[in-house]
Amino acid sequence: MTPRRHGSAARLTVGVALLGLLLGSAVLVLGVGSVPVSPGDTVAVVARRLGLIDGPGVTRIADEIVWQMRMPRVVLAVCVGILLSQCGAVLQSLTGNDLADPYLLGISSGAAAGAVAVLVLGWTVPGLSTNLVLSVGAFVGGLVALGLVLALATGRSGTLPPGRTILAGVAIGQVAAAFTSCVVMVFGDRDGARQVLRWTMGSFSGVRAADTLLLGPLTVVAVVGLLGFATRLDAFAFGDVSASSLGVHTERVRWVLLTGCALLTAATVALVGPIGFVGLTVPHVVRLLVGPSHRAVLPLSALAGGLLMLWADTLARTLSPGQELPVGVVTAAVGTPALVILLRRQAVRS
Amino acid sequence: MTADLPHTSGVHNSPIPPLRHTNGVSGMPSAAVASARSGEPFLTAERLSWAAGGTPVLDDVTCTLRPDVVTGVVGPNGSGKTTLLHLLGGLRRPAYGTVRLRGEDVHRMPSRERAQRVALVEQHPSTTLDLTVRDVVALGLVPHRGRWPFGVPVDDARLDDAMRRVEMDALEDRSWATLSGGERQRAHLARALVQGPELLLLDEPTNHLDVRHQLSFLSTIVALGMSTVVVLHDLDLAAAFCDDLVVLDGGRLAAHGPAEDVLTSDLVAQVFGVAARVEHTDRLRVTWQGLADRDATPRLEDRSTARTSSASPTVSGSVS
Repeated sequence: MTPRRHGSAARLTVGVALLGLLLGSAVLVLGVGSVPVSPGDTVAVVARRLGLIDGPGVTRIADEIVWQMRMPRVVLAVCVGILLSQCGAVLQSLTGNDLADPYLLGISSGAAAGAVAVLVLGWTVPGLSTNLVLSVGAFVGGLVALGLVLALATGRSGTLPPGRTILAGVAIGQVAAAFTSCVVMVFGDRDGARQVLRWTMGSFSGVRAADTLLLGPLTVVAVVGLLGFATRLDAFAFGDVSASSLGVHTERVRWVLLTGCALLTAATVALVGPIGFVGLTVPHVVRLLVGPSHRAVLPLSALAGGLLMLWADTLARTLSPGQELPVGVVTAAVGTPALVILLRRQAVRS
Repeated sequence: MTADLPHTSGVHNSPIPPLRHTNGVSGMPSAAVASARSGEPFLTAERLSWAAGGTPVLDDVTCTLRPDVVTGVVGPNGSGKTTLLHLLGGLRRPAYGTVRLRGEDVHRMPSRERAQRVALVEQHPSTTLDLTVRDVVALGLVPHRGRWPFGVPVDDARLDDAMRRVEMDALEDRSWATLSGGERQRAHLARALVQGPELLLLDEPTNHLDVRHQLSFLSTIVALGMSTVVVLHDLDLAAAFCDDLVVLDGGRLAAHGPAEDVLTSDLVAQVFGVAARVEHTDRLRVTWQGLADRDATPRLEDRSTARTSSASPTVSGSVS
């Protein structure tokens, strides 16, 4: 797709602006918190840690706060934002459904069921921390949900029709949600219910540096890998028959991308819980800005998703002193008005 | 309708520059050139069968289509026209039988190569995306692009040429949502041209178009001078614009060959259950007269020899 209305220069401008905003925001939010650190000191800490400058230059406390405490959280927030927005963009194109988001295939409900089993039923694994077991439980729950959805949706000839896949995702999501409610009602106490509610709104509190080592490389691989599908995703603009006539193996692409996106989503849910609105709204906002071509939508959604999640987490941890807000509340509060404004602009233009 | 309808279009008939697999002379893919030289028939469908959920949709259809002519596929609702078109284009795998384009099995071609040689315009293409006409036309470059989307310059001249040939160049920045049915079909026709195909497949392109746009669209198709297979419901349009016809009835081939040989009052009565007058005046015309009694019409089997024997030497067919 080569929209002149959204020419290369416009896309480049948006890309450079988003990259600048993301990097600038990262420097800014690394210094924001109960102990503020100036942007200059933040840059010095990061530069020193990356080996770009020598010598002490910064205080030990600034180094600990910026690099050891806040950096993993910032990196993880950006990675989760990138992955969710990428998965949202891909799923919206593959299913031809504007309402598609990364949790379309019942992943979040399945993961929640797994997490609840750990939180409320008190499942433990000797030698592993509760947080790690929680992540493993959520990931396994997400995979079980994905397996059930694929088994339900797959036709005899191995086809994976988008309509049936969405319905299967909704059905499995409802079953998993019913399981979660039942476990909380029957076995949970007040604290358990609160913990579950908190988990299902998503949070970056308690993330560890090890999480970034897992999700960071995964994010790089995902962004590069999905970019390799950009042209084929463009071909889905008019549905499967059209894509097939343009030389795309529609079933193969759908299997690879649905499964891949489900696994990426399950990984993010396992670490920080389900966080809504980013995967749904960011691709739409980016399309409104730069047009529908996936070679622009995918990388720019990554930047915009990372930026939105970075600020959503910063607001979540700073808006209410002494208590963190669920990050899902902030993404909804920030993402929805942005989408509404752009939709109104589009309506006026058309 | 005027006598010279198929040739009234003002479209530009200049060829779209080839993208790849071309010999630089005729614009045909090199494999196609080789097979053309070896005397392979252009397109053959041999004993094609396809079923949906155990219900036969197409049954034992065999036909050979000529190059550089417009072949119409006609038949009542549910007779398997779209299925035949999809099988010819390699979009569905037949339960039995083969489709050969210049001797090559289209279902064994790499999908990108197939998309460079065969292009399809769907019946009602729809999208939820905010696309411009140029976006839609540029989709025709998909089969010519590599896996990585960067570093490949967009062939703007190719897009411009395709839009000019179907008279959509003035609307290139228009949003898809604001286009009429006829404009949408033309946009997709331009997209198909950008693919640079040897074979153009059109699935009921005149559906829901008013009569002026029907005539205008089909005139454009004729003026392109390409090897085209078009599914049509309107027999009079098929008679006016198609050189050859493939007639399907209940998933089986009822007849095929030059339109003036195939279209007879008996065939129309038997296949469509309609009494019609078929005349060869300034052009082939089909005029409805009313519903027909199928049982009172001679069976197709009794008339098969006469029809197939009158076909041109480059067209052969079997009547099931």
